[in-house]
Amino acid sequence: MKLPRKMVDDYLMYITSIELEDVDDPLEEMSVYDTAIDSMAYRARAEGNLDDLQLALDSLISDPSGRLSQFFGTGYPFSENELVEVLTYACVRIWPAEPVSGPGEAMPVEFVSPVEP
Amino acid sequence: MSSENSNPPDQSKYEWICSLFSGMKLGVPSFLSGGGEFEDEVERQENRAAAMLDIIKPLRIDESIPATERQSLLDDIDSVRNAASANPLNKEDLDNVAPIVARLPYEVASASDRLEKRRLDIAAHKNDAEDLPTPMHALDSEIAALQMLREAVAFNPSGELTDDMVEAAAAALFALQEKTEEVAEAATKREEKRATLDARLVRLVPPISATGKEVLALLKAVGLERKTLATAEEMQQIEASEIEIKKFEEKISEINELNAARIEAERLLSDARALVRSNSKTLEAECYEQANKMLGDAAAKIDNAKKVSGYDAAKMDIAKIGPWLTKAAQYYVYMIEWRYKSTFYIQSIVPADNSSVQKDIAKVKIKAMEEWQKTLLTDASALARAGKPDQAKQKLDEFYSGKTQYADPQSGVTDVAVDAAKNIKALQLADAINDFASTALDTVKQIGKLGLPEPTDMYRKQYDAAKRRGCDKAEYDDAISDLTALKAKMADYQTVIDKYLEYVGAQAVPAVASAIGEMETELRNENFAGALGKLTALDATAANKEAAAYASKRAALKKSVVWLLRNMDGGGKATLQEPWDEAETEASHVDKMSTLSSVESLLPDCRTLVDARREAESLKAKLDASDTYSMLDAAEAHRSGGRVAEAATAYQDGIAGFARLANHTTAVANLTRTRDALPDKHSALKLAIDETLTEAQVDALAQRWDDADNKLRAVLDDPEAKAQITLIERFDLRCKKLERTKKGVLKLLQENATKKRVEEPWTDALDLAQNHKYIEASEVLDTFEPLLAEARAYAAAATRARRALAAMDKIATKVPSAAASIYALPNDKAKLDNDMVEAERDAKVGDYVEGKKKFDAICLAAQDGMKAAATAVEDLEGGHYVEAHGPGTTPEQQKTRLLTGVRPDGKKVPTNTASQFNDIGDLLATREMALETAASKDPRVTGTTVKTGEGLEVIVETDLPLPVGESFQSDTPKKEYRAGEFKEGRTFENYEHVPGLTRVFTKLIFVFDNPHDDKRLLTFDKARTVYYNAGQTPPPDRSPAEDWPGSWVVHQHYPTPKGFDPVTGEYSS
Repeated sequence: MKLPRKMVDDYLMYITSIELEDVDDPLEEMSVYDTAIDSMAYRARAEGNLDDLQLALDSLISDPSGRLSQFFGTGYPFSENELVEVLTYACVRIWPAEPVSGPGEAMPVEFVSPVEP
Repeated sequence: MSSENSNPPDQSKYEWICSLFSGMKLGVPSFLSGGGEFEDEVERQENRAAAMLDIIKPLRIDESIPATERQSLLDDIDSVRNAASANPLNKEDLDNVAPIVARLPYEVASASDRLEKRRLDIAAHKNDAEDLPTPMHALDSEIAALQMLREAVAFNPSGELTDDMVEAAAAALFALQEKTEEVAEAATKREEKRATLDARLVRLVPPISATGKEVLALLKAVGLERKTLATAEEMQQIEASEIEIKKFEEKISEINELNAARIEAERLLSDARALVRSNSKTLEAECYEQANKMLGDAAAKIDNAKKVSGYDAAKMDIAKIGPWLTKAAQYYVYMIEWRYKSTFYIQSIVPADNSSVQKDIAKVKIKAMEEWQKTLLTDASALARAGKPDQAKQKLDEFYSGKTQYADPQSGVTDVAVDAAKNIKALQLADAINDFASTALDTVKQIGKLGLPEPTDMYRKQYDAAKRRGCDKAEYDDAISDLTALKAKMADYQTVIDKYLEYVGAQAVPAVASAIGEMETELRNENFAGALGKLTALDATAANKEAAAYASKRAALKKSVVWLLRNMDGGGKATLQEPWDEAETEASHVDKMSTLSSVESLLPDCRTLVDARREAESLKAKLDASDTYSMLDAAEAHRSGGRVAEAATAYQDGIAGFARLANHTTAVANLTRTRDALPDKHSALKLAIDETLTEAQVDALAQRWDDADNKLRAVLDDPEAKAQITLIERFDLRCKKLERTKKGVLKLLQENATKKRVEEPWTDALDLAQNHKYIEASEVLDTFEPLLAEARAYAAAATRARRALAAMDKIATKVPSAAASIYALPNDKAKLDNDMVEAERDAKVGDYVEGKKKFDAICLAAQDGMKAAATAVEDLEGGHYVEAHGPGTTPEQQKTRLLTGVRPDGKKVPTNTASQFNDIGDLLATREMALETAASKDPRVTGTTVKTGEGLEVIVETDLPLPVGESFQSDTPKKEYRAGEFKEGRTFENYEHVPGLTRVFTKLIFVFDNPHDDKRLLTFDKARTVYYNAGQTPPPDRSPAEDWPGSWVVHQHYPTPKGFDPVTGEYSS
């Protein structure tokens, strides 16, 4: 599937722009991401893109290597693994009844820039 | 000449004489010679004389005889007549004239013939001369010369025709022929030269690198030269044109050479920049900065280069960067290893016992060692930066021989540290930690991800505790033992996980759900063998395995299928929905799995269909080509019919068709505009373009894109068309660049009169372009560009001032206590408002420069007020953007944030970017703009309540027409030694400076009104708790329930470098 990179970036920014103060391990207390995750989901739902957001998150969690870094933000400098953990937590929080895909299990997604004719 | 002799002598005349004297030998006839058979001598002589007179009688010596011969013949006739008329006749006289009589008729006839021949010869020359055409393109002077020669050939003599005259006519004809050839050759050469030079002129396309003025000057000069060339008569003039053309060519060549040198230098610089970036992870900050400085110096040389030699100098500098990087990178690798080691050694300094004294001593030792480590690192970095990596390594090595080189403030510190470094147990601990981190830690993470007991936290804490035991307490053996045991436990857990993964997703099967429940209980008791047993028991029952396999597969497919069903419609949706539903109702396991497999096999086509359809529809909408080019008809028919694969392929074909249509449309538009812009004298080319456009349109409608493109391309390759296209493209490119700025400026300008001054020349330029006067339109842009720059600066200053004052007003209202400091004299509100009016007045009358000066003065005067305002609003909102990103921070502080994680406000908040505003007015102004942007995206931010479950954060990015800040950023995290473990850090080895940011990131948060006036971002649960803790009922729990009251405030606000390309100055999205 192809999803607009900018759209996904705008949503993930809620997480990737988080600034964490004096935190040694960003995965120690996952609830710090709750508000950001809820706000991200709220906006995606309001804009009718919640399905696409789920698809994007599932795909990035399943196959983050070399793909997740394009969404790194200006906040806490998460490593790729850490961000995968946070996104996994986000998926479980937003869609508690739906399992997160394992490596290579997610629907293939390509993040694209808008096509200009 | 008599009529009888009008004809040239012919055989009949001779026949007449011969018949008269038939039977005689050639020579003198016998009767003339006096011989014969006459008896009477007198009679015979008389007859003889009479015959002679008869012979000469018809001979006419007139104009038909050439004048030069006429007298001689008359003399001969007279002598014959005298001899034949004598009385008495004298035989001897008659004998003497007899030969004359014999030859006279012939000579007369022959002379007459010669004259006729001369006449005919001259006539032939004349005819030949008339047949010679005047060469094409002959000059007037040449035509005159040819005319003279023609007249010479066709002369009409008043006197006799002589051989000399015939020769003269022949010579004149020859001369005329030669002259005609000469003229023809000269004219051909001249026209060929003219055509060649004209072609050279047409090919003179201004180089891309030329400035607008250079382009216009060149185009004008070329146009003028073409006129001169077209009207030049003499070869000299044409050759003079050639000299001018050479000058043009040299000028273009010079620009091209300079351009080539610049491009080459910039390419090398770009390569070097990429090299530096790609090496950024193998360079330390100081070296990276040095590398950037070298790049910057080279870039400056390129910018300042006026000649090729200048670019060559820059290239030489660039060439030095690569080798320098290699050395610096070698040093970096060594330095990283050294830092790991030295840090581990320092961390190995532990108190001799648990007493506070020993603990203090250990602290002092550690601090001293850390300072020494830092000093060595700084010195080594300086050496590395200077390109001396070997010496830098030696400097670092001093750490290992610290006993002799380090002046220890605390006796024995170095000894302890170095001894600790040699402690084999400490090193073993490090190995154990690394081993666990690289193997068992994944199991810890997997437990959390799968939601299995025990929670990740528990094992993570056990791991951390083991590390602390070793690192903090130097209980190396115990720590290693703990880690080994925990690793073994994780290995057992992993075995259970591997088995569990076979059944994950199959909880719908009761037996599986039950076994998993029991497994979880065993896991909580850390009975891994028992947990594994519960799962392996499932294997014994085939039905369980089958049900689990089906449930797992269905769960794995569900997400894709559901998503696709939501995004598909019509027959295609049914094609997927039917087997998906059928799988549930199939009786046998084989059928169930088979049906799911058929669903699985449908998925790729379904995905392609959804993607291709989305893209095709989007392109179709953008191209608005639905009516004429029915490229999606087939795809839509397939889709409706449920033929997924065919529909997917047809949509992809449609996408390809749209792409080709887009190219075609662009080519047609280019050609149409070129045609319109061509001067009238190119009517033939215009006609050709019209015909081509028509033919190409026919091809395009039949979707023969290649044919259409080839036709268009053939015309577009015409030199004249190319030159025109270049001109148009240049104009378009310039317009595109200017339009963005203009839009931004107009958005910022408030007064109509001021806007009009910007809009008028722009509209004029576009009008001229609309009328295909691109040169004139470009000239208008020449004057528009500086005007726009002035207006831009003015608008920026005005906006800064206006928004800053507005923000100050707002804050003064909201924070009355700040009002006094905001409007402290002499910059009280009335004065500032008055200054604003005056500044705007300047712009209205067209003086942007003066207006800007006044706005700048207002901003300057308002700086203190704005600082007070910004701080006041930040305090009010509980944000941190002024302290952390305000212009009051220094670049050094921002760099420090990257390198150490410490924000300018002193808090440790690491990020990989650290940015700041350049101006306090910009900060306030962009804050106001961001609020407007946020309100347009999420109207809730203008309200004072939220509903339970709604988002409590709103993030917006606002694009600005002008740079407002700069940033330092990095993607090279420093390996850090944290809690006994070296891992990717939150701080960075180096940084990149990114100026000119034109986008701001803003995060608004909803702050709940609450009994404790807590300004932090709270969750709904926490807000509820705050109310209950204060003995109050939260608003939604009240009866009747209310929305949560509160307000939206700016929490984060800074210029963002995300996606910013410093080279182009633009964001990628």
